[in-house]
Amino acid sequence: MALGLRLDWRVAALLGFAVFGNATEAWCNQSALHPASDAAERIFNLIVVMTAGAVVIQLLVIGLVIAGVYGNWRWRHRIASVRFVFAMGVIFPTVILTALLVYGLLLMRDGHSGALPGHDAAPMDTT
Amino acid sequence: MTNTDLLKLPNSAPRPAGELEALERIWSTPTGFRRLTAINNNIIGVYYIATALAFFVFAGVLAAIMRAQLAVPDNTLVSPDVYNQLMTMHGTVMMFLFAVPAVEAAGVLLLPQMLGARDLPFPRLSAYAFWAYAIGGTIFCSSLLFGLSPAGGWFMYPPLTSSSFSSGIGADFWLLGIGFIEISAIAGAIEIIVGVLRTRAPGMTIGKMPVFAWTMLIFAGMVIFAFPAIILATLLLELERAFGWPFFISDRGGDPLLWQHLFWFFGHPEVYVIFLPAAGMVSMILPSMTQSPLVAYNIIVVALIATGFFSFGLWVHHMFTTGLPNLSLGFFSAASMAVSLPSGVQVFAWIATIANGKLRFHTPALFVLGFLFIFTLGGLTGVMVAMVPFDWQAHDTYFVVAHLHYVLIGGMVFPLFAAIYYWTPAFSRKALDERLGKIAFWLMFIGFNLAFFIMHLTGLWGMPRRVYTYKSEMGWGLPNLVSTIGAYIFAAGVAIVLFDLIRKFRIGYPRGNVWSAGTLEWLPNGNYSARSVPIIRHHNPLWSDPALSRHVEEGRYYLPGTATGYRETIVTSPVEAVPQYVMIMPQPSWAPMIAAAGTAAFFILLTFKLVGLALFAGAIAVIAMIRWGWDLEPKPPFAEVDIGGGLRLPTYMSGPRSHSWWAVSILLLAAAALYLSYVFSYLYLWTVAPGVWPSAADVSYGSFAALCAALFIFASVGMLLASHTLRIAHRSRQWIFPVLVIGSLAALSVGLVLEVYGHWSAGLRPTINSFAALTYTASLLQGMLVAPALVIGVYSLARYARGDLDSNRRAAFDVTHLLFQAAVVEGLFNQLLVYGFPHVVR
Repeated sequence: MALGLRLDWRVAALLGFAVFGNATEAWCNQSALHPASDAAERIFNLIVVMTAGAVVIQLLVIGLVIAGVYGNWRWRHRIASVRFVFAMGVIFPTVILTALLVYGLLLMRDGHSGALPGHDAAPMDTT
Repeated sequence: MTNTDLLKLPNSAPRPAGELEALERIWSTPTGFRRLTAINNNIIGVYYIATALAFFVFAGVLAAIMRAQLAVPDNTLVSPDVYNQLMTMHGTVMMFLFAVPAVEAAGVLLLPQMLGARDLPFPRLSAYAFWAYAIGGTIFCSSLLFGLSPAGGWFMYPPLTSSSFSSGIGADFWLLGIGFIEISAIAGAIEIIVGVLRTRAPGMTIGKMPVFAWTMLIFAGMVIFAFPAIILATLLLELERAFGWPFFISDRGGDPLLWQHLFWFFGHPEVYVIFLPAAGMVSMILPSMTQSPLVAYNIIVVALIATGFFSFGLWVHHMFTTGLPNLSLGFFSAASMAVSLPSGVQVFAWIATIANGKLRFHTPALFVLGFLFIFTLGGLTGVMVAMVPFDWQAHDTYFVVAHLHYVLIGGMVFPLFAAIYYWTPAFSRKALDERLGKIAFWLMFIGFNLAFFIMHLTGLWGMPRRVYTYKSEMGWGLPNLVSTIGAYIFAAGVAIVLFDLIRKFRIGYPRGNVWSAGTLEWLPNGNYSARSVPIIRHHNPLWSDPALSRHVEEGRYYLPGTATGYRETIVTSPVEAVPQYVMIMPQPSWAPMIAAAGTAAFFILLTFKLVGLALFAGAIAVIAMIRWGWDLEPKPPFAEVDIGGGLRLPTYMSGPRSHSWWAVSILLLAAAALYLSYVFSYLYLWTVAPGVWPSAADVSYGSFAALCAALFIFASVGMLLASHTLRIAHRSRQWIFPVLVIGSLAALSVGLVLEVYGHWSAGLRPTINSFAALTYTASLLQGMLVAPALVIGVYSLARYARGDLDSNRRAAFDVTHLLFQAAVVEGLFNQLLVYGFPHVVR
């Protein structure tokens, strides 16, 4: 399993480099990783923060599975408890997600409003 | 029943000669071509899963063609139109013909054995649901051969799919075909709810139920409440396409966004409908693989229930870019994050279970580990797209394609393959090959991640989903080539599993408990499931009582033979699982299959606008259904039977304790959900286009409303009286009951006809605007309850004439009565909505 992950990131990094090196104007125009406005810049920061967070959590989960399978008695005893399930499954994500949600809501306030440019509200009263 | 009664078992006395032979005879599967009449869950369940896998392969081949097309830029392997059909069919078949039926099939196959029942409570309904799905699905897929497939994407957004922009019959194929398959899914869900709640082994309280049964119960509940929304949506869009009723046309007071609301109100719960049973499978497999009980069973059950509830409050997160107000976006963003909590809880409970025991790396365990890895990543990207600003960037790009395949393949396909390896020895004479299984797992795992991980980046680099090709200067060539290579590696893994299944899977006396598992499906079993039904006191009864298998097989527990001479199962109370009665079950029959073929033909012929032929097929279906019901509920040879351990149970039950009453009540919940979706649509379109609603003065034809309401109430009272006369049953006045029933049915039908006539005579035409269209739809929905009430009403009268309906054996009438009163209530609501609502708002 750990092998699968490393393989993915290597391939991704490699490809990222290859494509990045060959980037043309057309490609840059459409990439969310090449922000061209302030709003896009702020969302890009969000992407970086969330990607980093996702990598950490994914590694944590893999680490815990490995500890659960191969860990010593003490580790496995700690993991195999309702307290662990509650702490990792309820408290930990609640804290993380609340923080993330607040960040997102602030971005929505600072960025453009929900209605996209060129879109008025839903079509109204057409009789 | 007291505890001392329970303690009398296992019974050590020798069993009478010929008992087992009689049981085997009554449960034997028909042979030769009559095998098609089989209704037993272990036969139908296997057919069901095999068919789902066939559709999985079909849709997978479509994906392989698409991946070939996208492998290099500017490719011309398939035309844009063919690509659109491939892409639409891939999504539609995977979701509607593979994922949902596959988990439903797993329920049909596994639940009776797991719960200690002989079969699910309505075996002919299972057979009907299976055949309807198999026949309808096959015809739906064959549309691709003729280039007639839908091409509007699997969520079929209007106006692209309206008659102006999709004039061919492809969209109609989708709407009628999928609407019909959803009906089959609801039939299966009713079966599963009644099965899980009423046919558990004695002592298996709801808190001792296997987690898989919990997930199937919640799955079925979600189907009952979510699927009606898509049935209504397909009905409305088909009415618009066929007859010009403007629900989604904004010029006439409709709104295309209404489709998106209805579709995703179904579509988001659908994701959890698929995932929850898969999670249930994991919760069954891990304890066996680690040889230790599941950690935090209670927390897992709470998490499952929470997921079921939350999943109905998230649908708008598919619509973050439709221009909704920020407040709604914030709410649905928060709700979308909240739903990741219960899934997270389960992931950590599984890790805790792994740590609690010693994981054995058999193939099912590998697939479970692969699932944990992939599904966690899919969950994390799910949190990312739940963030509104991120979704503004990622919406409709390959990032979403990557995310949805991570959660669906990770969350459902990997657990399903784990389940195939795990449960094959419980049903097949041979287990699957471990060495091939491990090779298949690694091919699937590596291939999957290669194909889909890079898509996150392809999406962020700007590649939109659903494009048939792209220019080489966009720079997406290399990542797409990687995805294509990965997809073919994944396909090779799937091919190995299928090869092994074809080679090894044989229905027969099963291989047995090769994993040393602890739950009831691993008892020695035949067509009749376990020989006798044990008393359950633990979550893992086979672990807590090592002699259980032997005692069960020797017939030392309840119902060791056939007590009435028919097929039968013990019906228990829903929470405490106290035995209540012995239910006599039907024999194999051609009727369910013919009814299914007739139903499928009805919908398919409607697609081609062959109305006459369609009605003929529909009539065949109805006749077959009547035939199917006709020999149910035979007169039991004994009013009570001894099922062992000194326990005597009645052989018939009517009223709120009976399985038929439960089934119809659940069906009515689905009808209520359908009606609520309709009320939502009504109010939604009113907020969008209040101008097309009439003013109070315009609704001057209210006298019709009063007349209709009076007729409905009259009919309702008539039916109540009929119910009462059946109870007191005077021999000399046998004519009163039929007169009351016929009078009530007539009053209800006349009321409905008058309702429509009232609208028509006032000059209202359904094509004018959305208000008029919705008004006629109200009557149509009521008609969908009135029509079946009429058919079974007449059927009940026929049973009454035959002497098969009296104060005791009255289930046929009770079913009619429930449906009938629901039709009355809906009719009264309709009057309030159509005539009352304009008065309130103007």
